[in-house]
Amino acid sequence: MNLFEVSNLEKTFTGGGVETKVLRGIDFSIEEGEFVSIMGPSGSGKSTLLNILGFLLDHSSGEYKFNGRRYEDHTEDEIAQVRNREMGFVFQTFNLLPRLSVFENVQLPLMYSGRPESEWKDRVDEVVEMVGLTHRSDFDTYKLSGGEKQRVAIARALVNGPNVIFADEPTGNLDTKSGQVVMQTLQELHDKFGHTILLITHETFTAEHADRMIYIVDGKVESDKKNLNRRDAKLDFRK
Amino acid sequence: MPFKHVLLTALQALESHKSRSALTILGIVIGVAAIIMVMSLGKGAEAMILGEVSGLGPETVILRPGNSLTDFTQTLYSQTITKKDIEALKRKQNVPNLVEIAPLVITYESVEYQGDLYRPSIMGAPAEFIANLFDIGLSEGHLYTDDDIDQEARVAIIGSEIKNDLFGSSRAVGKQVKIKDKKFKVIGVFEDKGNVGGFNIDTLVLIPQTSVQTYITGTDYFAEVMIRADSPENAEKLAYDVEVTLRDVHDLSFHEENDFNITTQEETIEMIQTIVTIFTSFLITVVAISLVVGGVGIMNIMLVSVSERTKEIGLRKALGATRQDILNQFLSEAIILTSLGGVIGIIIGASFSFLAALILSQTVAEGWEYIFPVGGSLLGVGVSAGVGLLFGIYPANQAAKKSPIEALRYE
Ligand SMILES: Nc1ncnc2c1ncn2[C@@H]1O[C@H](COP(=O)(O)OP(=O)(O)OP(=O)(O)O)[C@@H](O)[C@H]1O
Ligand SMILES: [Mg+2]
Repeated sequence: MNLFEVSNLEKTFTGGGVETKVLRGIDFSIEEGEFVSIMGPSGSGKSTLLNILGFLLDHSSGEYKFNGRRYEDHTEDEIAQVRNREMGFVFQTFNLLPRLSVFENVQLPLMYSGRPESEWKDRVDEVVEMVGLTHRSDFDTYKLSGGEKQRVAIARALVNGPNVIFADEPTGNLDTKSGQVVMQTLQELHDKFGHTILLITHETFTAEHADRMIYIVDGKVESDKKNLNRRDAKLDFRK
Repeated sequence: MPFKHVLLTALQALESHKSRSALTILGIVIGVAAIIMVMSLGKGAEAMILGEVSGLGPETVILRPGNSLTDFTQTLYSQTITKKDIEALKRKQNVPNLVEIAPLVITYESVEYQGDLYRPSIMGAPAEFIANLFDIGLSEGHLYTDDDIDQEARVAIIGSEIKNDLFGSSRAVGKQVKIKDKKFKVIGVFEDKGNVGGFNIDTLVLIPQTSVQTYITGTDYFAEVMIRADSPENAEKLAYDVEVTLRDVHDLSFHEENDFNITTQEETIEMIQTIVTIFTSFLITVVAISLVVGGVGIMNIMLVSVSERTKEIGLRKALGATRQDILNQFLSEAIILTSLGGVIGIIIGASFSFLAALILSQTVAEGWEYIFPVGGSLLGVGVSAGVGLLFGIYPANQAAKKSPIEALRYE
């Protein structure tokens, strides 16, 4: 079943009397369980597209269906609930709350989930262990390295067990080695746990870790093809 | 989000900006402290005044000439209560509940001793009644009796300041002073007492009222009559009987107003309470305005905080916080902040009014007691929480309205 269905999607920003047309008619669909990378030059509209797909931004025209349901048919609270339950976000700039500990940061989505509080701790411990940060659990996040921060962000994205993970240049602020750890984690999440992953990057090398690569130029899909030589982050790592 | 975590999150946010939080609530602290002080001191004043007034006892009724209770000059110059009235009131069949009646004459006249002059207030009244009423004893001599009053005896009890002025350290009792060229024998001296119930006892000369009328004023008018009923419950009935009797003696027809007025202690107490309440309410209104100013300060700081924390708000929304979640978070911060301000204000206000009460009781107002305004404290906390709610709504709503991606992009 198609998890994402986008047809003739457009986005125009208006501000200060200027209209900026960023997306100019995007069409594609993505099935549940796919690992897709979105590439393109800077300013081509990748982040804008991802934010629309992630219910963080509304589109100007065209149609966007998530899980078979049109975006505009959701109420504001339903939008918040979809973001909370079905989507996890990993940003280039981590976006952690620096004064909270690793544990508290990862716990945030649970607080808004309506799940019983008794389940929270086990769930947080579980995902913190998954990203290998159990020994840092009580650290305030401003004390962590960039790579560690991004792993906290991944744990936070996972904590509610969402179907989709959006990652907007998750390796952009990391050195090669830390970037590889992040890519390995994402591949594992896809291969082992069946998460749908949408990854934005402008590096071909990173994009090649996905099964499908969509190339966007100037607000339009320029190419959309299967990646037959998928890179294995685990092997890259050994080099 | 569970309520507990709403509170914890709010506390965490406040804790990370300790000094800003402290400065923000200063206005509330001062406002609430002022409310507590006004209320505490108001209640203290009320208790003290009532204590002095009710020294008369609830069974005492005061009769004055003139029909207006509030127009004091009219009372002073009205000459409608005379010996004849007193005699009528004393008759059992007229006022059955009367146990004691003390008519008062007040005048000003020079007292002379061996060429030295002193101008005291002269009160004509039963000595025992006055001594009991004001709770004063004598430093020398004795009181005059009812017989002295009946016989218009020319005797006087003088205040301590008059005694010192005219007699120095020598004994005053037994000496003759001249008032209006009539000789009066000093039979007693009041102990030092100062002001009691509006009279300075130290500069007072007390003489039998009959003697004052005959030898000094030359009239038979009274300035004030105190009448005691057999029990507090009968005070109202007594007042009614007095009114009926006097209207009869004064031969007033039904459409004529009373040419005298009667006050029961209950009325006096009510009047004082009303005055104190009006006064306190006025001050509290002024203070309430300062709380509004404090509230505006809080709103201002919260708006700054909301814009500073745009990123955090965006992130929380991206992670699934609803508008309501964000609204609750910021409102809780505001309410916790102002309630805390309220509690601190109460502690400070209570401490200061306790200090003020202590100082007052040891200087100008002996017998002043500290009263902790329980109602005022509850009000203080309630009002400050309300201020937080009221002035937190706008900033919290601004926060809740933010779109997550705008907020995340914000640098
Ligand atoms: N809120 C906004 N108002 C106006 N213009 C905007 C807004 N957000 C994005 N844009 C514009 O839209 C265009 C696409 O931005 P977007 O962030 O989607 O690009 P991108 O492909 O992610 O680029 P990069 O690789 O540099 O991250 C840019 O020209 C940007 O200036
Ligand atoms: Mg981008």
